[in-house]
Amino acid sequence: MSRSGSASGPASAEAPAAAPTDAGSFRDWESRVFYENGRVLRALSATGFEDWLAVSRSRFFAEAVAAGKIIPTARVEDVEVPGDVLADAVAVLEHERVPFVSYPYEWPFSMLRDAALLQLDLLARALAEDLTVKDASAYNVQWRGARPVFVDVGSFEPLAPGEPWQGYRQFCMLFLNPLLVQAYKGLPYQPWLRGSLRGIPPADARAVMSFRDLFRRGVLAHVVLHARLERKHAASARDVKRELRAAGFRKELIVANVRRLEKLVRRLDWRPGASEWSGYEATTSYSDADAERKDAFVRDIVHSRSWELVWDIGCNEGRHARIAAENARYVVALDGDAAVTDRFYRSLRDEAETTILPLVVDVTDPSPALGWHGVERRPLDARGRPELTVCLAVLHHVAITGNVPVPEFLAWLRELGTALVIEFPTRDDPRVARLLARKRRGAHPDYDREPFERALAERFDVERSEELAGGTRILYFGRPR
Amino acid sequence: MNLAYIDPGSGSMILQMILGGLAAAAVFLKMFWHRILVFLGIRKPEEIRERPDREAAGRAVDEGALERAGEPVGKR
Repeated sequence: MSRSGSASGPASAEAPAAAPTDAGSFRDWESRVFYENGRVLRALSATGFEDWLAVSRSRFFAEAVAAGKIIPTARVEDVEVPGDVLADAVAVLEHERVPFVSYPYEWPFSMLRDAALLQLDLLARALAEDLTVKDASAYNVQWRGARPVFVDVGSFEPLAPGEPWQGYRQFCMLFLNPLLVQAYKGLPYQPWLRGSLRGIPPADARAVMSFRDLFRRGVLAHVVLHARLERKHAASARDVKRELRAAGFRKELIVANVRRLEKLVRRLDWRPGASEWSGYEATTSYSDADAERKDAFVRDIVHSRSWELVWDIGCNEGRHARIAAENARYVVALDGDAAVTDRFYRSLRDEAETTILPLVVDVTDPSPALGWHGVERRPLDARGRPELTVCLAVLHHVAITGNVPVPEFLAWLRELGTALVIEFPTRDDPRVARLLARKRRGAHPDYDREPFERALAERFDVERSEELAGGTRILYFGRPR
Repeated sequence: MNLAYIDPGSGSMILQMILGGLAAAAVFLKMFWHRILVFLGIRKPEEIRERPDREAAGRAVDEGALERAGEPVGKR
């Protein structure tokens, strides 16, 4: 990971005032990301600066920036580097911000796959001009809506003759192995990556592969052989790099490997069976008329003013996230179901949408602070607070399935400082009744309209409400008190 | 040579040689195909001298050759 930390850099919507240095970008000693007056800056050492000069003069770099594949970056001369950022800094770069930082453990399969293809594409193009990347961290990729963008400009450097790709192992751990375990084993990688910021090591990926999997594309070479070689050479004191060079290792071998990886990743596919939530929008208990009234309610609020950041919690396939995007600078659409989020992402990608970011996040267990010092990867709500949050058809799942007390959920929303569109499905709603039927009789006595409205009014000024579906679902709009 | 700030892993580097090498090996095989034919007495030995080993090895991994490397060796 990497310079990857830098990922948290260009992204952050809110630069942490107390810690101007990006907490995730400490690993690479040639460059370090820091913030000043809302700008995302990167201090470079002498070596880092030399690398930048070589990279910034290349044709591939200009083309990739123009194509939106690399974050726009320029050298700036008006910034002093604070001594504690990088002691021997000789130059400073400024990066464009990405609207909202996200992490691989929040991406559905197709997003991680497209991020992997971007990494391979950039490496292949760099190699053609005798440049390379010193790593291959999924954290180096961020998103502008459904378009991936590479943010770690410090990753590129001139290719030394006879040198292998330093980042190949990291590519396997953070891109390939997660994709393989999902595609071949149906094993969600998100919890795994959240538990291991370094990714899935070859030996661990090997452990879940069966004999049959050995015949699946990519497994024998990149997983089984990789794990075996790693075990065999773990304690070796050999200077493998020197031996490789002496044996005639050359750029073309990297090119061949990258091409094979690209082919492999492109063919990987994850077709989830029907998940709990797939088809939800098509089969809701709403009549068409009610669904339209609900859309109109949301649309009215969305167009009542312009919004910076909107969160759609429980976005499903994004019907209301799309409405929010009509009048918001950026929409982060959250859903705990990776299958529906994946489908939503694919439709956004096909439309080349750049204002809606779909993420796999269970709101009752949102991404925490992770990594060194607990600040390397930031919690969801530390990466940008919403001005408006849309919470439709989700409260009963939070309260009844997730057992989060309604007042606590509302308190969390209030802490975000966000205006709120929220739907309350009453106990008479068929879906609520079904959830309650699974619990012991009389469970969740506090889940009712009257206590909900009281708890809501304590925290929000409710400006509007509307009953739908014969009074079994009520919509509210409130501003934080 | 730059020292990486991440450990590229000895095993991983060797694997890269093997993976790249698999593609290269097919090319080498192709390069030496006519030698094998000579050995089997199918082709005449003079042809060999036109392609000294070293030069052949140097040319073996040019990009075009790698692209063709996926083809069956005997196709030539």
